[in-house]
Formats: sequence, C-alpha cells, structure tokens
Amino acid sequence: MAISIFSFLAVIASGAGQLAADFLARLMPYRERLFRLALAQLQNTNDAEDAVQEALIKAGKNAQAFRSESSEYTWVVRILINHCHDVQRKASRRQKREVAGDITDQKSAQIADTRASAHQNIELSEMSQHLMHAVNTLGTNYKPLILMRYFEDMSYEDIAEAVGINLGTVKSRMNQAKTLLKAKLEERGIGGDYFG
Amino acid sequence: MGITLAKEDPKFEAFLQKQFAQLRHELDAQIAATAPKKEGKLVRIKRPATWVYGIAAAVIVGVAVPMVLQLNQQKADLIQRSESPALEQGVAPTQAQKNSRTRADGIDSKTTARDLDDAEETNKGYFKDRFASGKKKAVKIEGKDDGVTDAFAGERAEGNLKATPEVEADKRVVKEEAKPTLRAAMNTEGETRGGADTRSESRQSEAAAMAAPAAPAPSAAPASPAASRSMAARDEAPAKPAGRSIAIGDAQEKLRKQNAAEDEKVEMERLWKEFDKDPKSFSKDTKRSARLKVLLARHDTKSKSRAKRVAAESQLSH
Repeated sequence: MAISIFSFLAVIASGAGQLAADFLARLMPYRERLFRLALAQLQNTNDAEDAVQEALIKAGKNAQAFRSESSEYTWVVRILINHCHDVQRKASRRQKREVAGDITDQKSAQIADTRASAHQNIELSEMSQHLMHAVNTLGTNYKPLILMRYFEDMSYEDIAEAVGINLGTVKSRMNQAKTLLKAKLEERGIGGDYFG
Repeated sequence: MGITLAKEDPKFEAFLQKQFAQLRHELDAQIAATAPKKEGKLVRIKRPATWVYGIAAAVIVGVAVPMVLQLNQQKADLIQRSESPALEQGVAPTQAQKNSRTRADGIDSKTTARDLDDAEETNKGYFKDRFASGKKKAVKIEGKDDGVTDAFAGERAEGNLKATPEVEADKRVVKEEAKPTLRAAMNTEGETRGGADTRSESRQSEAAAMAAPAAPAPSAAPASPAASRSMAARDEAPAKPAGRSIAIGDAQEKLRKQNAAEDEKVEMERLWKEFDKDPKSFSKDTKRSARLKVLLARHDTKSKSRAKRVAAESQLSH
C-alpha cells in the first residue's frame, strides 16, 4: 500500500530522525488495519489514505512522546480515530456553510475539485451505513471507545492505555457510549427487531 | 445530558459485535476489490514492441560484433609486434609469423609462431650436430673401454689431469674432430684426389698429430711432398655425411683412428725423448730418426691444415 510508504518518506523528509523512521517501520505490518479503520469512518478510499498518512506523520513526529506502556498500534489507532473525527467535523461544517450559502461558487468549485474522489466512496450494506453513521455522531469521548472495542476488538485495558485514562473510566464511558449508540440507532428505525 | 446508564445488554452487545464483524468483512471485500487495481497500475511494466528487439539485434550483429573482432585483431597485432623485434625493424616476417597473422585470436597465433620457429631451429640443430654427437660418443666409448691405449683417459676420470698445453691441445683436437661434417662436405673435391694409400697415410699422420700436438715442430724436419699432399687431401675431405643408420660405423672408424693416433703419439713421444737425451746417438740410428722425422712432418702438416680450416670456419661464421 502506497500510503505508508508516502507517510514514511514524509516523516523522514520532515526531519523526524531515525527514531521516527524506526517507529513507522514497526507500524508497517498494521497499515491495512489502519486503512480499514479509516475507511470505516470516512467511507472514501482517498480520504482514508490521506487520514492514515496524516496519522502516521503525526505519530512519527511525536514518536518521542510515545508512552511505552501502551502498544504502538493502539496509540496510532487513537491518533487515527481522532484525525478522522476532525476530518468529519470539518466536512460537516463545510456542508453547513454550503447549505447556509456562505461559500461562493468559486470556493465551492475548489471544494468539488478536492472531493473529486467522491466516486471512490465505498458501498456498504444499509445496516453498516446506519451503524457507522450513528457511531460518527458520537462525541470524541465515546467514538474511539466504541471503535476500539468493537471494530478493533481491543480489551478494556488496551483501550485505557491507548486513550490514557483509567480502566474504570473506560468502562463507564463505554456504557455511556453504548447507550447513546443504541438511542441513535433507534432513531434510525433500528431497534427491537434487531436487539430488542 | 441525562444519560441513563444501561445495564449489560447482551442482545445489544451481540448486535454490535455482529454488525461490526459484518462491517469489517465488507470493508475487507472493498479493499480487496480496489487494491489489485492500484497495485496493477503501479507494478505495470511496459514491454517494448518486438521491432525494438529486431533493431537491437541488427545493431549488435552489424556494428558491435565486427567492432569487437577488429579490436581483437588489432590487439593481437600489437602483441605480436611487441614480441618480435624483427617485425619492428622492418625485416620480412617468417612463414610462421605470416601464418600466425592469419589467425583471428592473438594468443594462439603467438604460440604457433614460437612453436614453428623452435621447430625450425631444432631441425637445423639436429642436422648440424648429428655427426658431432656421434663422434663425441665415440670418444666417450674410447675413454671407457680402451683404458690402456688412452693414457689420458684414466687421468681424466680421476681428475688428475691439469690444464697442460698437451691436454689443451688434445681437447682442441677432439673438438675439431667433432666439428660438423656439413662443412667438410663443402670440400668434397679433396676426397676425389686422395687415393687409398694416401688415405691410410693421412690417417696415420692425423693420429700422430692427435697424439703429439704439443711437440715442437723442427724447422729442419724434412717433409715428403707426397705425404703432405695426401694429408692435405685427407684434411680437406674428412668424412662423408652419412645417414643416421651409419652413425655406429662412423663411430667405430673414428675409434680406430683414435687408437692409431694414440699409438703414434706414444711412439713419437718415446722417440723424441730418446732424441732429447742423446741426439748424436739417435741420429746415428737412421731408422728411428727417419721415423721421427716422418711423424713430425705429419704433425706439422696436420697443424697447418688445421689452421687453414679454422680460418675458413671463422670466415664462414662471419
């Protein structure tokens, strides 16, 4: 996958040094899993590639700040989830401004050019689309926990290390996240027939 | 917010796990569907058209191969010229060198030229030294078998023989006898002049000359004209060039000559000692004095002819 190679070169070009290069080299086996996680949130291959690249660059630059008590992969997963959340938030703001008419036609054309890869949106089943839409509407305190727990099959301990909070907080937030997610799914008409 | 924490909901938990597993499966399928397409674009190598191969082959056959052959030829010529000074000096090349130039590869042509030159020299040396080697063999056989007649053989074997003038003269005589007979063949007209009697006499004189080469040549010693003529004829026509099959016979004849020369040498020395002790009484004995005169005359004639031969050889060699 070209994503990691580009990010690798970008990190080296940014002068992050040998430590960052070694850090990225150790993450190479996980590049497909990271891409899949980004694709699940963004549902666009180009955006997912960009997100993974940005996440790896961030991780490489902050490799010295990496705490060894958590695994490198979980740490990058948290960075990637937060980055994807930022991308979605920016995209939603842009949509709101487009709807409000704040963006001119020229700016709209530039945005359309940057989104020229819209045809590379992936096709998911209806249930998966509802689920991911509901997850994406969760806040930054809950979304990473849901994705780490159910998408990445991470244990509570790993989630606590990756996020940097204690285990009890993780469990508490996880319950809140599931309650919110259940409510959002029920709002979309997915309820008793599936898990009621 | 007023979020009421829900108790453990196993159904919702199962639903979430099932749906996220389904989501992963769908994403993997999407990635698998798009990944080969991208990698195919990246790894794709454009194969050149077949006519490119044809042009490349034509260039190699038409340009590169003749160029390499020409370079090899020039290299071989340079090596050959650097190794043969005759070619550098403008001397006409030998047949072997001509043959080697026609060869395509330089290394084999060098060895071929060298081998042919060696073969020519070997043939020349063989015909040149064939009779000489036969004569040397004869001398060796004499030294081995005839210990009585060859007075110097034992001393030579023991290493007691010093480089006296007599010994040196003996060595010279033996060397002269071992000269190649090819030069003697040039004087074949002398062989027709010598008769049977003169030939036997000349053999005796030659033996005497070999036996006492260092004896003083008396100026008043009378020399018979017939004897000297026969000796000169004998000297001018020593031996016929013979084939390899008669080399043993030639050696035997040479051995007989050596024996006779040794006998005459002993005799001349003995007579000269007697003459040296008491010349008056020796001169009264006409028989012995005549014999001594004959021997000395033979020696004188032999030495003169030898000097002539050496001069002729030196001219030939120059």
